[in-house]
Amino acid sequence: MSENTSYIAQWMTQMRRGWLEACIFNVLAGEELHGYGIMNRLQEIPGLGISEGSLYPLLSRLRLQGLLAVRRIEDSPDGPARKVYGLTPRGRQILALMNDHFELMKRQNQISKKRNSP
Amino acid sequence: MISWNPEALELFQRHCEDRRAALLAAAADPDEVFSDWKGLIESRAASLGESEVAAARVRSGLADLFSALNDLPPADPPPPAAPPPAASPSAVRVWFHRGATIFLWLLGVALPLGVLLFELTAGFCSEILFDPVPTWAHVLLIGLVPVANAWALLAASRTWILSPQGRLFRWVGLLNGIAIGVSAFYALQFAIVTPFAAMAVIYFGVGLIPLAPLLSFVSALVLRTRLHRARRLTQAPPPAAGWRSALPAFLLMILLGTPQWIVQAGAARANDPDPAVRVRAVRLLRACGDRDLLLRKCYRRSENIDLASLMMVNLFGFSPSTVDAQNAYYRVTGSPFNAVPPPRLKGFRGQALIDDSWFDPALGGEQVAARIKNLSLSQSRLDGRVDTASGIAYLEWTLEFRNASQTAREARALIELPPGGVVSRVTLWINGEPCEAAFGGRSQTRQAYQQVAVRQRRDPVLVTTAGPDRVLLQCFPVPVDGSMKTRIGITVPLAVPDARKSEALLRLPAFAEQNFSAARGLNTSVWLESDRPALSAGAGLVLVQGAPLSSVQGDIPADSPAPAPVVRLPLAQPVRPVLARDNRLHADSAILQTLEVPAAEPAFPAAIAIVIDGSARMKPHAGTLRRILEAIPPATQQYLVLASDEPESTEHSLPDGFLRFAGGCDNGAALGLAAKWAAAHGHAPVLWLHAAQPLESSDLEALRQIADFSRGRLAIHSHQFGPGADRVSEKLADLQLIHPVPGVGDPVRDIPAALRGDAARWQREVVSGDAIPPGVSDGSSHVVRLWAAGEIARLTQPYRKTGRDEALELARTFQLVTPISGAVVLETAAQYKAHDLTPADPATAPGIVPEPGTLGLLLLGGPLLLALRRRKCTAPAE
Repeated sequence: MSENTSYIAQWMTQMRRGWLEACIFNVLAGEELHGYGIMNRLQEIPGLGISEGSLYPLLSRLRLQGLLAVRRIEDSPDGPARKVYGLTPRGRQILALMNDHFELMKRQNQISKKRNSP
Repeated sequence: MISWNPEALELFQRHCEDRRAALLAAAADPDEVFSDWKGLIESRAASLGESEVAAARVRSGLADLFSALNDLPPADPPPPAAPPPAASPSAVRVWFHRGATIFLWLLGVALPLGVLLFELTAGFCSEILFDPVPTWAHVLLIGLVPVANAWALLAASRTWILSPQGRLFRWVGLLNGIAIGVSAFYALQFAIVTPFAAMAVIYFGVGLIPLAPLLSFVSALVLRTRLHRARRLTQAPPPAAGWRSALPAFLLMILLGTPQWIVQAGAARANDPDPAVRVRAVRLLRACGDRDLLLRKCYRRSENIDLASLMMVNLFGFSPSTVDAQNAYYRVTGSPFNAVPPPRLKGFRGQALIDDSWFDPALGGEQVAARIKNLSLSQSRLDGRVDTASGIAYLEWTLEFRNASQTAREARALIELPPGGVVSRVTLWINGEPCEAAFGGRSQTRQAYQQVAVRQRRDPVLVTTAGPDRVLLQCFPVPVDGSMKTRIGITVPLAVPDARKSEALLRLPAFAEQNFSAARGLNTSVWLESDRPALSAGAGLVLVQGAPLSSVQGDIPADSPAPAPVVRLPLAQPVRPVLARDNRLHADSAILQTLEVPAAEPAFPAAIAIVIDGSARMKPHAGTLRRILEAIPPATQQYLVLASDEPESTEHSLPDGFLRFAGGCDNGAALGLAAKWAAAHGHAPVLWLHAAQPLESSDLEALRQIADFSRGRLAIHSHQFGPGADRVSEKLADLQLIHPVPGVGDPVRDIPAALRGDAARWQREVVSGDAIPPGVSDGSSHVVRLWAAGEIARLTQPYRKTGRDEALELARTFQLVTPISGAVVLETAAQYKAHDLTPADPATAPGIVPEPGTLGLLLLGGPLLLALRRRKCTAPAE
């Protein structure tokens, strides 16, 4: 049993790695958010809790890849400028592709399940 | 502003440097991440009211940053082959992409689709350049271009490729290749006009239609690159190789053009001077030539504008003109191109957007040519007077033409005169007033007509001969939405085909060919008055007996292809000579007319050469032909020549399978063969049985040579089956070689009778002074006109060296249309003067009103005849 649990945990980790980016894109599809807001939204999704230590490197990578855009907001003259993240047009295209692909995978999986059911 | 103490800062920096390699491996920007972390720690300190970040805060902050139990391991580094873009795509690129997509939709999809639909409905290109969609296969392939481009536009996005439809990606590539091949073919087809169209677009903003193929081709190429780019981004299987579908599509387009190439080559070679080449080309066209295409070529105004035709012209020299195509059409089908309905204009309900039917290439020429839309015969009336005592009839045919088109038209008609008839009067109504024609030299009147009518566009009418017993009537301009009325007077000798019978025949004139249609239901109203009641008349005509004149009245269809009606009239027995006087003759001279009756039992010629036209239009008459040949006595030596593509001959009586009919055949060579045989057999007569001959034969020189050396002894008796022009007879008119068999009834009876010489002939001679026999009754003045016509024919015999001037003077004096003279009506005195012509004095023009002498005779003799007739009717039967 513990062997199965370990396998599933490992599988979920692998799956979350791919799923996480799509979730970030989906979170940012409707509005711009700062890092903390993104993290809060992600934590609402079961199994997708992520530390800020891991989130910011991921956001940095996505920005470098041209999928996210960063805008700085000066909240107060004393405090540091806050960064808010949003999707670039390319990020939106990738998001559409990801969603379509997930839909396809889901549908194909259901078809396979139906085929195998007695 | 929160400050950092040195220990905290050192701790934080040490921690960051430990993580730098991992962040780099995760393709993140370490400095950016460190800055974010630093901001987070400062935020925590600030929220706790601290003004300085201490080492403890750094430790707790870092612990919080990485506290999540289910934290993810660092992301795998991206593959080295795909370096991350340095920055997000610029707005310019995005807008460029969107703009290009809009243009691709417009130029690659909407434009070709719109142009195809426009061409199918309006037939724009097919009428002014060439037909780009001659078959439905072309329509289908062209239709694939916008479909392929639209599909490629949709499929060239990663979303589509990854969607369930993405499995069709290879088919998108295949279709795109077809679009490239088809549009490349048409871009080349339109290559000649593309620069002009481009200039028109630049300067006038119009002309996109001819550019549609090129723009579609470019669009298809651009979409090909988009498909490849999308595939690379999505790792989808590659689309089908472009050349694998583009090349076959291009070759298929060439293959679909094969019928056009065959027609192009065939039409060019069907008129080759070499008979062998000509025959091969005609057989090729008959076997696999598209007749509709050939017919369209007959009406084509713009030649060889498409690339395929240019290649045929430049590589192989196949450059048929419109006339070549028209001749080829006749040779292939046996019908003149203008005898069948013209090809339907491409476009909605058969109409073209551009009506270029205003152009009449035959205007002012010597051929009737094609029928003209909206030009019609609106009135037709035939009046006549028959003087059986003089064996003469005078007919006046009044014609009114109406033009409902948008441009002035020339009405042309080839009129078949009664046998031996001659036009002796031409009248044109100008501003409601009848104006008589001037009679002059043939070329002189034609030149006047062309200058006044065609160039000055005034009101003339021209009548010239067009072979034996035929005249060509030309009226121009029939004004737009207006009419033109003219009348021709014809002096006719009554035919006496069988001297043993005391009856004469009068065949009414008819159209042999015309370029106008008759108004719906239009009839020619016939009214012929005669000094003796007619014995019979054709269908639609009734006999009305009266005194002193009887009449034949009725209506005959104005545009009927049926033979003209024949009126049978009684002759006095014996026929007495008549004496006709005319003050244009020398003083104290008159014309004595007698009827020469042949020997009691005329014999059939000992030898005869018979030429049978092998054209398809003779096929329905095959039975009649056999009966005519059977009527020839077995003792008569026969030489049969079938005028087919390659003339065939036999000296045996009609072998089995000899009569074969196909296409339209040039009878020139066959006539030459027959004439040669006839000359070698004591100048035996030649009988030529033929359909219409719309082509000017190219093989008449042999016949001309024989005729030249025969010095009038060679005679060709011709009988034409059905209406239509006879260019061979027209061409040989100067030789006076061809004598139409008086077709007054059944050819099976008429032709042998004509060959035997059964017919009685009117003889006319000048008598003067004491030579004038006493007691001869006065005859019609038309006798003098017919004498003049006979004298003109005698003076212009081909072997005579002198006499033409005298003949022309006779034609002018007696106002006759002959092979050397014509009649033209001009509008003003200045026009007549400029062309050295004098209009006829109306007082000298013939008319329907009985001449004074005849009227007196009728007034005296009519009641007497009537009384005798009544007495005969009331006599008791024995």
